Amino acid sequence: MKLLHSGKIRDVYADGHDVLLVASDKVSVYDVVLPTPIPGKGKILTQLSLWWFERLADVVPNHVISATDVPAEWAGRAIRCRRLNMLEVECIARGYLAGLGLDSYRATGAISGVPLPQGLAEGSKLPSPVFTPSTKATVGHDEFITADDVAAQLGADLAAELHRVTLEIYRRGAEMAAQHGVIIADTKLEFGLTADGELVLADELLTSDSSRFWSAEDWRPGRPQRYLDKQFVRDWSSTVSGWDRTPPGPPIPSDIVEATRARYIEVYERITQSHWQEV
Amino acid sequence: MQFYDPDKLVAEVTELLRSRGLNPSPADSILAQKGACMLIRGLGAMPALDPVDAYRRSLDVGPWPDADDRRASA
Repeated sequence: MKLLHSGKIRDVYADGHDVLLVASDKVSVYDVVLPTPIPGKGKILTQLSLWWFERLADVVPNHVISATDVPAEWAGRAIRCRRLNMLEVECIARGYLAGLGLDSYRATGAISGVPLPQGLAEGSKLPSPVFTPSTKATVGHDEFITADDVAAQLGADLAAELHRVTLEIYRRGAEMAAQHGVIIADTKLEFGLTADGELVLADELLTSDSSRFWSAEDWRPGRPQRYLDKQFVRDWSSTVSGWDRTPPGPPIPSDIVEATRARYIEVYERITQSHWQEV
Repeated sequence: MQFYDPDKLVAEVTELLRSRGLNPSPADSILAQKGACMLIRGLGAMPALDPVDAYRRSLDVGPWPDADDRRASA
């Protein structure tokens, strides 16, 4: 097993022709990875991702080869994946106004060239979900690209398929989560092509590290929304005197760690409607 | 199907232009990327990244909501 790259909260390994994505228990707030892990977070998000891959496999094939054929030390938090030719487009679906989508709306009244009604506020639900692709280019990736840009890059047929599949996955996922009080405000998907040109869903799927999860009970448009799982850490971090939200982050007290772990488990159980069992 | 990395093509063309006495600069990286993708497709291949390069970019930015917030506040 060869380590190919170690990221902020996940690592990627190669095993022969396969790729292994390994999630850690690290957690970040305000874009800073904190020094204290949340025990089990990597497993919970990996299992949630696998649950979604299985539920949504009828929409598009995915890159999962196995969640069990992985080294024992990574059991539960690693996925053996197909090695794909990855598309240089982040496929983002937004059902609510937040983050860069909100920023773009305030500036132009549109996101990725899609005009939106006037009078929407932070956290507002959009009339219908919008596809807001972004480039994965190493420079200049702070801008949206339009659906026409994607068509120019990848061809009209593949661009249309990405648009359709992204919105369908978001629509299905958001609908399923909403039944249990979880708002999936938006999500980012990544895709690749097989050697034969088949479109395949890659990376992780509908986890809180690739999507914004909000509580339906607490949802109030017109203000920043509360994150469903790591809000304890966010709230606590804002009380840490002297921390200016730049690295290094402060260590997390044990009661906050425990509360956050419990919240990750609760979100898993609410969405999957199954009891969390340590893998 | 054949695949080629559009960023690699941009880097190679940048070097080519430099060797011909030009002084290329990344004035519009999205336009350059789009142009590279169109050239690759026009030559019968598909623009795509090696998965390690693609995941490196994703993994380095961390959780997507953080990255999206960061882009919004930039």
